[in-house]
Amino acid sequence: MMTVETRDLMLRYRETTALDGLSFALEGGKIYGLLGRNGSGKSTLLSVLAAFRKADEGDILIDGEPVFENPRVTRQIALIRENVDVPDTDDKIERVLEFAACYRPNWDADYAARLLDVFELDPKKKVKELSRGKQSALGAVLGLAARAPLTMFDETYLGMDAPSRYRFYDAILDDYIAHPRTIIISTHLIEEVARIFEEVVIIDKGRLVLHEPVETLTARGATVTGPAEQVEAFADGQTILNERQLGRTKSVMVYGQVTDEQRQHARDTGLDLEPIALQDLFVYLTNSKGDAQ
Amino acid sequence: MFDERSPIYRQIADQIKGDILSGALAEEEQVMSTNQYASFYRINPATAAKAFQQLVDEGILYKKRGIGMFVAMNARTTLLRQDRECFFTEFVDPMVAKARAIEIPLAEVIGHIQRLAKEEAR
Amino acid sequence: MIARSRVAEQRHSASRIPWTFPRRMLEDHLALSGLLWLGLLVVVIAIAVGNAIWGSVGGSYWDDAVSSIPQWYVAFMAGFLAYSFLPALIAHGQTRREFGQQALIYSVVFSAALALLVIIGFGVEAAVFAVMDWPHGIDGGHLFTSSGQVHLIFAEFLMRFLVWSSAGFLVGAGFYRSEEAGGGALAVAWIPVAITEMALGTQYGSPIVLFRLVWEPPTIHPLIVLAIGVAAFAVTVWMAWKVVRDIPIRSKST
Repeated sequence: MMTVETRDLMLRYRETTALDGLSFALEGGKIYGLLGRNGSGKSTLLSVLAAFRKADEGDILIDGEPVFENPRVTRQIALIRENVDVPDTDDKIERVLEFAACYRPNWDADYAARLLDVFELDPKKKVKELSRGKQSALGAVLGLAARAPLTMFDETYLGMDAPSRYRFYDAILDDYIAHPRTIIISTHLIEEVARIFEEVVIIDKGRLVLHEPVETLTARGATVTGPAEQVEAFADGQTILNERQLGRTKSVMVYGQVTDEQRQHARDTGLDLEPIALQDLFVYLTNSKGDAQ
Repeated sequence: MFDERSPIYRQIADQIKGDILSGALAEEEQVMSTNQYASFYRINPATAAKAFQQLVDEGILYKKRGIGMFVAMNARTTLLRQDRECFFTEFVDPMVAKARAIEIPLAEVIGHIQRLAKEEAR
Repeated sequence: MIARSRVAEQRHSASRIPWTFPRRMLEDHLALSGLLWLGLLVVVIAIAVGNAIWGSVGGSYWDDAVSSIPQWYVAFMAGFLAYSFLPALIAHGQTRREFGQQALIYSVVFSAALALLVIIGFGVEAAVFAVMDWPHGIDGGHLFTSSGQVHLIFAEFLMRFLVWSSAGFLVGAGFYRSEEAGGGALAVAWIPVAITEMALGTQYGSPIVLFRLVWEPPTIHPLIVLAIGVAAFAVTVWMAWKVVRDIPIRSKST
């Protein structure tokens, strides 16, 4: 499986530092969620992993080898971004697929044709005639049918309506199950996609915030719901991610170890305990780092 | 398909346990593979695998190399025993807490239970 | 073990891949070029006819046409190649080096094909003029003196098209990289072209028309002219490589 490792990546654009000493390692063969706010460096990171750009400093090892200008490795990477990377948007979709078939060693033409149906894309239509959502869908087709051992989607769903997005997630999951590989999905719409992630990488301001399995993360805390007084008593002294109140019922999301004792106590006092939501954890982790609020 | 009430892998495990107790899954019967589970419920296979692993650890499922996952011989008995162990903490204690919260005297609760016991005895 | 053999398999299939790029580009562009060539030829014959009617035919008109027009076409196509195909190919897993190699092959084949079209054009014009009993003299400023010197015509036009292509490519790559790089490329790319054209002493099509009015260049041996052209091509390719070797691939929306 394609492993991905970065060490102390640095990349500066004129005045901004997009990557600021970013280091992490992915075992590979999993579906990873890459989460980060706008300007966190997600897109830059993916570009650099795909050898679209060169980092100013630091190392990138994909499958154990440096990636930049290394054909053995770049051949096995597919990065799909918001605007489809085709030579000529005047081309018809079928031409675009032919082009991809020339260059992708693992290209599956039949699968590509099936995906065109799934996303309701007409092969005879020109790329420039497609709506934004349909262009994103085309990107999804190119990314999936390439069956690249390292496949990355950089917010590919933008412009897609909800049904199309769910078809996209379904397609990724189905193909991943049939052909396991390393897949990285960067997204804002966390709750929608979280169920297909196995691990999550959160970056902020070009640095790593955390990298963990989803299950571990969502178990690191609890959503406590019940009578306001009891909830507040429970949450007292804990780190709070989120609070909601309707009448006398309050719901508080606490971040931090919840012991079995505490769980028992909660049940005894009539409180409901649920896991924390990845979205809220993400907002908390990327909001509170030195920002004046 | 799965709500947010508890980690997904626990919900899967609970669902399989439920199927075993109800008889939908018989002992020594093969269970769907993790991939089938993942595909059917639209979740990452690793999550399904974690659920299966938990059940293996508890002695509910076992793995036949090269074939798949099967329901263990005494799975039903094991599950019933598990449920019995948790019954009081999971159901009775909260019931008592609730009764207290809405101000039903425990004596009434006990009386109600005794009536049910008498009906059963008939 | 398994991983290594899979890599070997991919390397084998990967090495087949580059040839499809020049082939696809060539298919597209040769067809277009053929049509344009035909159009140009028709226009040239029409001009000859027109001259014959209202005046007299002084010599080859195809000569003038191909000394000025195709060069810009070739340069523009190469610029487009750099600007549009480079990012698309990198996005599809090729390296910049591989792209450079493929672009080189494309340029050579494309230039050679166009040089052949030039020769055929001369041949057609010569045949028509012979039938009409018009003179078919060639102006100065070429390696060849008559339309029958096929090898000289081929050598000259192959060289010129290569030099103009490389200049166009440099400009296209420069502008893809950034506006500043594009500007820099523009400022520099015309130099090898001018040197080559000067070496040919071409009358038309030289970017510096004034040149001929100011100074009559000495005659240089044809082989030296070719050498200068090849050198100019090599230098431009080298400059283009400098621009391309670590060029960042932008997101299309930026």
